[in-house]
Amino acid sequence: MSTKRRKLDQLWEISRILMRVDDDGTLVRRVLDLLREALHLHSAIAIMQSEHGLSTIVSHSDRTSEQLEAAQLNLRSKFERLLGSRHNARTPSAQRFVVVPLGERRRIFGALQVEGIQRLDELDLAFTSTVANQLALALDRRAVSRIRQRAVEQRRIEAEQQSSWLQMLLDGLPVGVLILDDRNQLVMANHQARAIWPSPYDETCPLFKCVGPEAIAEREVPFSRQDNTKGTLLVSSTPIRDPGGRMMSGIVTFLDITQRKRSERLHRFLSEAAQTLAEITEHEQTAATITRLPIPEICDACVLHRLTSAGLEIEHAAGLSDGLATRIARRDLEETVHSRVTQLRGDRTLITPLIAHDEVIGTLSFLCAGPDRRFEPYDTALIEEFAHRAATFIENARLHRDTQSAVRSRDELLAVVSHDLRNLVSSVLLSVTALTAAPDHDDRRRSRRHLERIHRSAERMHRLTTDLLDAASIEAGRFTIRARPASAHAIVNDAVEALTPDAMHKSIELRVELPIDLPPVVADATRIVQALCNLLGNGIKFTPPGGRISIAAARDSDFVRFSVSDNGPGISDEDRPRVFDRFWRGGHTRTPGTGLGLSIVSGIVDAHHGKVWFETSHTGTTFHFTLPAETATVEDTVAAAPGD
Amino acid sequence: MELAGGIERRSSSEQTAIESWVERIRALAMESRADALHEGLDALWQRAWRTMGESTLLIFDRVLSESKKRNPILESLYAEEDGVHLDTWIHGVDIDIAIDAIGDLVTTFLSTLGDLTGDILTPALDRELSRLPSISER
Repeated sequence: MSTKRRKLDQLWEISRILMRVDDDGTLVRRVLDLLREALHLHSAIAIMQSEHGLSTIVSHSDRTSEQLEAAQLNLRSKFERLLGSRHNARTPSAQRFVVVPLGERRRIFGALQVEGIQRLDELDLAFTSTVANQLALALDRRAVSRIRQRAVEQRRIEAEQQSSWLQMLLDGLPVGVLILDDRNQLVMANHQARAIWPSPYDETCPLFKCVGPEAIAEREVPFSRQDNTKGTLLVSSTPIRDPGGRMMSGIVTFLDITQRKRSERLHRFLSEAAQTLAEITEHEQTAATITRLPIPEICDACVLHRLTSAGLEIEHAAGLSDGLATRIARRDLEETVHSRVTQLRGDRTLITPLIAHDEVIGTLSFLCAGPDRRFEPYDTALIEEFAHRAATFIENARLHRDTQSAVRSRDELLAVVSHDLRNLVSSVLLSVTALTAAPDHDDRRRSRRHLERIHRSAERMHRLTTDLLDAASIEAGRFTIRARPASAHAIVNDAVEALTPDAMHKSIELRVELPIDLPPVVADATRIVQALCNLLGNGIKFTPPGGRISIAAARDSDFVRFSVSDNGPGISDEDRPRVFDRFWRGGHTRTPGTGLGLSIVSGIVDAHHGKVWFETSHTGTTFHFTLPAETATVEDTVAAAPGD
Repeated sequence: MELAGGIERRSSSEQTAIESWVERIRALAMESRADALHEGLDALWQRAWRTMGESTLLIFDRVLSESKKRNPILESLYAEEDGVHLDTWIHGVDIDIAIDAIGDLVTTFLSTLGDLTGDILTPALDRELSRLPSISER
């Protein structure tokens, strides 16, 4: 093979390496090795300047370190001369080296030096120059490529930073934001947008219909969430145009106003419900309206449970089916009453307590039937507000009913009192007329009967008027007692003695059970006898003929407890809360009396700082009251009724 | 001999080749001198380029830059890959001053080239100069 042909092959091999090797250092070294081999060199050295400083790459076969150092010194000197930073004198020894610049686009960034074993000729110089020029071109292109890559990377990082910054900015907005390109493809969506409408953003998304050449301001758009629940979005959109007016992209902002709209609807409902209920005074109608009103605005079924002495009982229900009824668990109702806190079971059953005057009077249960209907957490407050108002209306209706009942009782009382007084006065008038008209010689026995009749009528009129006055005093807070130590035995005996004729008249046995060591009480004995008489009279009134009434007393700590038990029919559930009310007459309006007796008992015991209560069943009733025993401290012997 | 700026002159025998070329140009008619300068620079360029290729331009640029410091008249002179662009420049300068400046430029170029390459090309370049100018005096 000719020398020229061999050199061409070597030049071809160098060109191939220049195309393939990635790393600059490796590339230069391999080129130097090939160059040294091609030209039979002692050494081939490259010096290069980069942003990291000067670097030297050496390829040699047989040079000592001193020789290499001299060679590198020569190259550095020539390179500095090429850069114009140093002027060197020519030296004869330097002539064994050939140095060619490495540069491209008129910029020298390095130099290549070869040192021949024999003196190099022009062909060697041409070969070296060709290699140097190709190497410089390759290095320059790689440098340019790196710069471009760095620039591209820098632009990518900046774009990512800008995108990240923009995303952060958009995520900070309180509304959902979508940015679309000119083909309606999603460019960016902020956190709120993804939360409201997770995906996909395509033609199925109702927001896309809002993007167009015209801006849209606050349009309400209905939508379905992924869980099929319905909602409403408040959407605005703005087209972005290039300077030529062509639409480049669109920005859509939207807000889920489902809650707001529902809240507005519920507030409207509350207002309308209050107006409707305000027009109703009848108790049954109030309960029915309360369960009917929330349908269908709030729920599909509503149940009102009332708390009675027997527990929770359904008072009214609307829209309730068997399937829905099973969702109201007794345990949940009781938990609601106990905790006084609204219970949300699942998201379709809500039970809230009915509280009036700080007392739980029942529960109101709201149920959703449809699969796409449910209670949201923010519904609870409004439903509780409705329940609060409902409880007030129920209580007002009850008070109205009680007032009506009291008015009726008062009217009946007036009729009874008027009737009784008229009968008694008539009896007196008849006796007085008989006495006046009787001849002087009329016998004394007949006169005495008339006088006794007048006396009994007067006593009954006195008792009637006394009861009315006592009831009025108690009600007005003017009722007073004179408490002093008194024998409990004497009090009981006086009362029993007074009522024995009435008991005997109905063949009722009066049984007294008093321990011997019963302490005296601090009491107004006359008033306590009056109270016991009222209780005994009440018992006689409701005990069937042949029955039995027991009067007992016993020490109870610092008090003495008096008890009057009968074996009558007991007091009904309905009547129990009103036993001590004025004008209440047990069970039936046909029961004789004013309905003041037990009310007066309560007033007398209250005035003694005692306590009165009763226990009742279908086999009888026992009334209890307590009075301070003499050992108890009584600061003032003259006590006043509460409210005095 | 060293020129201002630290560039060393070639040896006196070598320097003679350049000075002789310069003298021959001066001997030409005024209107031929520019062409003769152009011819000389072109011949040196082509000969150096044939061996060293693009390295010629890198070295010449460096040399021209140094020469411009000593001879401000060269300020607008430049070279491309096809050679030194003398035409436009030389029409605006005094030819005698231009000859001196070009003489200095050629001296520095050949000196630098010789220094870098161990004078491998020096004989060939001297031969080129010795044949010039080819233009005979009219």
